[in-house]
Amino acid sequence: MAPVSAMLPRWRLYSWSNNLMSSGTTLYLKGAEFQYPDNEKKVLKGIDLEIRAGEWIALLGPNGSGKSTLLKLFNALLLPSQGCCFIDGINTNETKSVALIRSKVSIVFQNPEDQIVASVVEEDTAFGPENLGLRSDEIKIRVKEALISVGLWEKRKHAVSSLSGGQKQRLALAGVFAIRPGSLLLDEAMSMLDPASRKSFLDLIKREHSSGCTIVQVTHRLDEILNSDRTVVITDGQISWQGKTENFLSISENELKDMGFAKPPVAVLKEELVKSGIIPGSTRSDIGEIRKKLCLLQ
Amino acid sequence: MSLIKGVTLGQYIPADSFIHKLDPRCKLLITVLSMILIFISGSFPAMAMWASLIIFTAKRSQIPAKALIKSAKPILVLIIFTSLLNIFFTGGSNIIFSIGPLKASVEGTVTALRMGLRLYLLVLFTALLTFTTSPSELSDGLEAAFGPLTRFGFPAHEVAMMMTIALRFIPTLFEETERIINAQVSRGADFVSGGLIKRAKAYIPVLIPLFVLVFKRADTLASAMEARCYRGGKGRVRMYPLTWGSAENKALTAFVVFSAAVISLNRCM
Amino acid sequence: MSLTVKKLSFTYNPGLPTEAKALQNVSFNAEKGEILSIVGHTGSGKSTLAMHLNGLLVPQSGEVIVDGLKTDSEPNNLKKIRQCVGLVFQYPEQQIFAETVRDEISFGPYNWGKRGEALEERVFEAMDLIGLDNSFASANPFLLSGGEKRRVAIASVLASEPGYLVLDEPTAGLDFTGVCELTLLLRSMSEKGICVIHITHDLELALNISDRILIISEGTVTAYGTPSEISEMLSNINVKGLILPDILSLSYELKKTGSIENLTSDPYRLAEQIKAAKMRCR
Repeated sequence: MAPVSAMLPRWRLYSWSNNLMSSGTTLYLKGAEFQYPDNEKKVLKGIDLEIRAGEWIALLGPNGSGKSTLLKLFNALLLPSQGCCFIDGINTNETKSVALIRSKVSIVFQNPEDQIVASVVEEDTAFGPENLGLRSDEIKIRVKEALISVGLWEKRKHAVSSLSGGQKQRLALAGVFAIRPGSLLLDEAMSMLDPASRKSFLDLIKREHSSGCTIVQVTHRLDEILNSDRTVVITDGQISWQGKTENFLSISENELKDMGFAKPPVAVLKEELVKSGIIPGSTRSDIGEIRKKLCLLQ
Repeated sequence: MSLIKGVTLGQYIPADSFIHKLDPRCKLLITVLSMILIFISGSFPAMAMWASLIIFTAKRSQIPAKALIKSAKPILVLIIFTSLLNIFFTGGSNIIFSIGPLKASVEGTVTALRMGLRLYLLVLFTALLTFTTSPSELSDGLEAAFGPLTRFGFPAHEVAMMMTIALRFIPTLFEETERIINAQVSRGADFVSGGLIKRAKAYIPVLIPLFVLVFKRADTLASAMEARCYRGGKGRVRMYPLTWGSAENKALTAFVVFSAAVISLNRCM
Repeated sequence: MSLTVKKLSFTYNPGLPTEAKALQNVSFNAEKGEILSIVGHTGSGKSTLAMHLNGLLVPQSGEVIVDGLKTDSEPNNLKKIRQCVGLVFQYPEQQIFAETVRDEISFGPYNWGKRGEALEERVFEAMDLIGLDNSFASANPFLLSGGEKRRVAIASVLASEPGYLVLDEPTAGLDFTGVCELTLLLRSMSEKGICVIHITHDLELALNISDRILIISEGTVTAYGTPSEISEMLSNINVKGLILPDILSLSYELKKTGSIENLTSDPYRLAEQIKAAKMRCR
């Protein structure tokens, strides 16, 4: 697997030219509730949430708190049973806009096996654009861009079954990139990957975000959210904490543990060093930045 | 796990040949026509002609002879069985030998040979189709071929999509079945000893988890397909649209001329 | 009494074009009462290794010996070995098939010939070990939460009273609370004298919970030792596909420049050392 950095200059040539300049979508929930038809218990109980274009939101919460359901509201896979959901100002319950909404908001699920449709790499990547009814040469361009950006262009004719887990998840990402959405929803998309694949996947998300895409990321692991702007914690169908990610990470280790989260070691280190005045309080919880600050001091 | 990494996509053998590039509809049409014609033209010289067409096509599409011969292996038993039936039950006066009440006649043997060869040629023709056409091209071709039937309610797109998904999930389900079997064997499950009923029962702990998994998988896959803007066949296009051009016309013409020659040869004999 | 792997090699589809070497010359030893973590990236061969430990795969060369019994010997031994080495696959909740938790957990011991009261005893002991109270016994396992399902699945392996417990990626997909519960469980198992073999791709987790660590890469053992020995070794070798924990790699850099003395993956200890170094500078 080629390192992502090695692919960057080439990728730039195929940058998302017109689309990404128009940047990310805004996602908006107003008093959203959700309840499955045959179940009395409400999964979501009145969520108000506004996500600005280009923002990176980390959506946290224990298993079964309703995070995944919330994501499905954003691309009209589910409709709120009360309240409403708007994507770039379009209400998701307008049936005729569903296609438009889904071309603006894409989702990557946990298990790559569940979302790859075709047996050959490039055919799967083309699935989304094919459904959009694009011209054949446009589809080919998008497929090429998407596969180059995730580092699978060389494997475009390969069988999906010959890919590793990490490669499969990057293929799932390519399938979504080819739709050129303005926002990307990640439903524990990295939880089945090993650390190396996770890192290269996260690098791809960072790049998407830096080119203007809105990111909503559901995860259990706080070491994956270090790059996010805002953290939203959902407990039992309600927002129980919300604020800047840096503020969330500076909650004490024990308190976080009570909330059900492991404080990332990097955040612990930063806090300890800030406490004793070795690095400035403005340092982000990022190993690269801590390293830089320490070097400057020496 | 890697045990079944060898499972390929159908029998497709990728190569850069004129025949690989032909529109799948053209190849389907030729295959179906040749199947019918092989049954009509039953003489040995005609069959020799068909065989030579198969050899020529295989050569041109770089299909190794070994693969071609192997492709008929699974139904060789069937061919031999029907041939035996023919030998003994055709009837005829020139008896070669007899086993009890069973009598093998010259006529019977000739019929048997003819039938066996016919079946064999049919298998080789379909094998050539699957060797030179990828599964997705094949399902595209079928979808287009059955397209006219949608007017009568035939779900051509759905059938083609089902074929695509089935092919995609065969390797995955293989892996999953293997893992569940291993997990149950580790807990002491025994699939080999005991009578038929006991052994069948032993598979319950494999089948139930597999069903649960498949349904869950289908559920997420449906969501994922919808999320990727899938709305059924309506408005859906293909990255490589099927194109019927001069190559297809030439291939079809050549085939028709060839068939005409074979049929007239068949008549004369 | 121990589990010994000697010069184990294994190749998938030998002689075919799809031939793939999975293990080459792997040797190690696991003792009762310890937690041994086997760390490797996806495709490193760790799952193939796991399947060798209870005889699901038989060595092509080399040997696996469990309490003196070789896995490639007669079927009778194999039965004993499978009873003795419990194997918990990745996402073990996917193996659940029974209508009640009791039936699910009794599957193993029933297969090994336990009946009646002895069987019942095993089931409740296993549930107790894993922290499921008795009220769960008649529950439908398919209706439990993800974490509970996983515990039922692990209990169903523990019910056979294995001396060795092999778990493949047991924390995958669990939230933090689930991970904590599971690591506590592994610790209590090892304290009861069971040998816990924990297979994972998470080096950070392995460094925190194991007595010994075996690092495997592309089918060969690249490092083997206690967590602190492993920390030391990894500063000198580069293992393909293995991502070092951030704190550990920072401590390598600082040690190289002479700022700190001890390698660590614990952020508190690293912070303390940095503080001390700063004091010295002043």
